[in-house]
Amino acid sequence: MITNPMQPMCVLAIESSCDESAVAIYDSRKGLLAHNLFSQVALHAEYGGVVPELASRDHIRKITPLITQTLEQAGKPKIDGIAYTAGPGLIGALLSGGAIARSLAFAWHIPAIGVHHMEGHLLAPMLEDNPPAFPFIALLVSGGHSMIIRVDGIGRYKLLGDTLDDAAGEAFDKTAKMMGLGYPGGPMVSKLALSGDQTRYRFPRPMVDRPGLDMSFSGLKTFSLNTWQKAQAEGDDNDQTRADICRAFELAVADTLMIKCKRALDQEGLNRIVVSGGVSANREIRAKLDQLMAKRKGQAFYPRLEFCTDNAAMIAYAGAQRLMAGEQNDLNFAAKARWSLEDLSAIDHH
Amino acid sequence: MNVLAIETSTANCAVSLVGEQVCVSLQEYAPQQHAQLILPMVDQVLSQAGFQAQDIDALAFGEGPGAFTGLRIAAGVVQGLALGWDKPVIAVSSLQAMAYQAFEQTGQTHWLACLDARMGEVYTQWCEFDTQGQLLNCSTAQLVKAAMINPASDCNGVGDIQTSYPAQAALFSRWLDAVPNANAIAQLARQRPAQAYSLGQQIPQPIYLRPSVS
Ligand SMILES: Nc1ncnc2c1ncn2[C@@H]1O[C@H](COP(=O)(O)OP(=O)(O)OP(=O)(O)O)[C@@H](O)[C@H]1O
Ligand SMILES: [Mg+2]
Repeated sequence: MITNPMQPMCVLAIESSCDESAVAIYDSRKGLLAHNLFSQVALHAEYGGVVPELASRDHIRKITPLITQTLEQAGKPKIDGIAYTAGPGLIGALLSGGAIARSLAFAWHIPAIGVHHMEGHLLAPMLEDNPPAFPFIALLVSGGHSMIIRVDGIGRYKLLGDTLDDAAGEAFDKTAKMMGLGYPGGPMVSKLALSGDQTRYRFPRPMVDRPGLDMSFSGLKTFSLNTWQKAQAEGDDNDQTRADICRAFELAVADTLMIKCKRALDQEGLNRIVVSGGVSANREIRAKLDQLMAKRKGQAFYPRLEFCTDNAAMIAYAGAQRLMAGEQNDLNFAAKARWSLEDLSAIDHH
Repeated sequence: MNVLAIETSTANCAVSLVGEQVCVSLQEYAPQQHAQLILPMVDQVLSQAGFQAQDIDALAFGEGPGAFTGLRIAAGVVQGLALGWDKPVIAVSSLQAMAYQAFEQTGQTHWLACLDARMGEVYTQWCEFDTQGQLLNCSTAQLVKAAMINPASDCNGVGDIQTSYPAQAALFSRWLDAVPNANAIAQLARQRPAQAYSLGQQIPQPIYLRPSVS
């Protein structure tokens, strides 16, 4: 755990950037006290993706009861500050959480801070028993992002590589959707891949023969589609084919990410990697990165599985670091749909 | 009863504190700016009145219908304040608020409130007050095609449809331009203390009238 010279704080956090309503309480002395999450996945499933207005309507129903429940589970501790996700994400969803969070902090006369959702993902492994020390390379792979970042401290982020098109999670979701596997597709694709034959198809490893750390996943998604359509034309569109495509697709993503991470570590002269965001739940990706780090005697760090996808624990942690450093927002809770990690301010207490 | 009211169902961002000894209101035409302005306005209204949280008996909010994001800001702010201060909440129709404003301005007691819902549609609600401004009767708020608005020849209308649907506004024997304000929300809330609920009983929610997926 990071030792902190600042006043310790107990922080309540609210996450509502997309399709999960989540609330957590983190105490900088005692760690995570309680966390709860209401997933809207079932609401959006029939539309094959997140419907923004539906998401906002559900957040404004669920967050306040989640706050009450979480406070009770934590034993009603005295709250010293409130953190809420202020972006990037769906504006209406963010504003629902922001309005509640900022007003509650106002009513309680305590500071509030709007947290960058991806900083939350990036710092999620700090909630585990063996947190990484700075500096490290972070691979953030989620439904909306695929980034490789050099992290020298909280708020000290340098974007080394980004996707040129789809995010990794998006490619998982689209691959699942075209084969009728439901939404979100990542967990289904990785489950089916377990029974897939990895010798049947070989998918390309996009951009690995080009220098640099940028990525591209839309070509892989198209490769999945072409492979599936060919199988359909040949009357071979069965569950085994689905599993084989899932396996080949997953391996291609894992290899590509591994190659890019290796390159980033070499380029920056670092040997610690943090992998976070929903796609970091993927077993094959973790295995490939563990292998890589074992070979170079480095270390890979991941959040526990439930904190790979959206949650409020990571927002509470990130918010607590900033609040303890004296940062806070005024009464304005406007949300940011787009927001670069590189625009965050550095905090200096490590 | 001292009521702190919030109304953000249109571009008008409004906060009002109304009680036996107090009446302070702030409002600003501020499209897409409610998240920036609403809490500083609450803060200012309280300090202008010299009020603390403990002096407030209930919170009220314009539940809509209206612009969805604004409605959620009002509902969310009221949820946060009610939780933090442990206060009951009274929800008031934003259309009733406009009708009340029209009554206050004219003394006339029967109004059809009409709010532009975009896409050729209008939110409407009919309200009847007594001569003291007590709400006697009202219809349920509805979403109708603008072309369907067909008031009786002696009907008064109030709202914001004059520019988008001038032909409809012209059908009323008397038309008043208005958008909902927080003072009217507070006044109407003070008429119905029995409708106050705690967060344990109910979570303040907007009235949308339109489905989230069409
Ligand atoms: N086991 C898995 N393998 C691969 N992908 C997965 C797995 N589990 C979840 N995902 C993917 O993770 C994504 C969801 O992650 P997360 O909740 O972090 O993203 P998001 O919040 O939607 O996007 P962002 O954080 O970029 O705004 C989805 O695309 C989902 O398919
Ligand atoms: Mg996320």
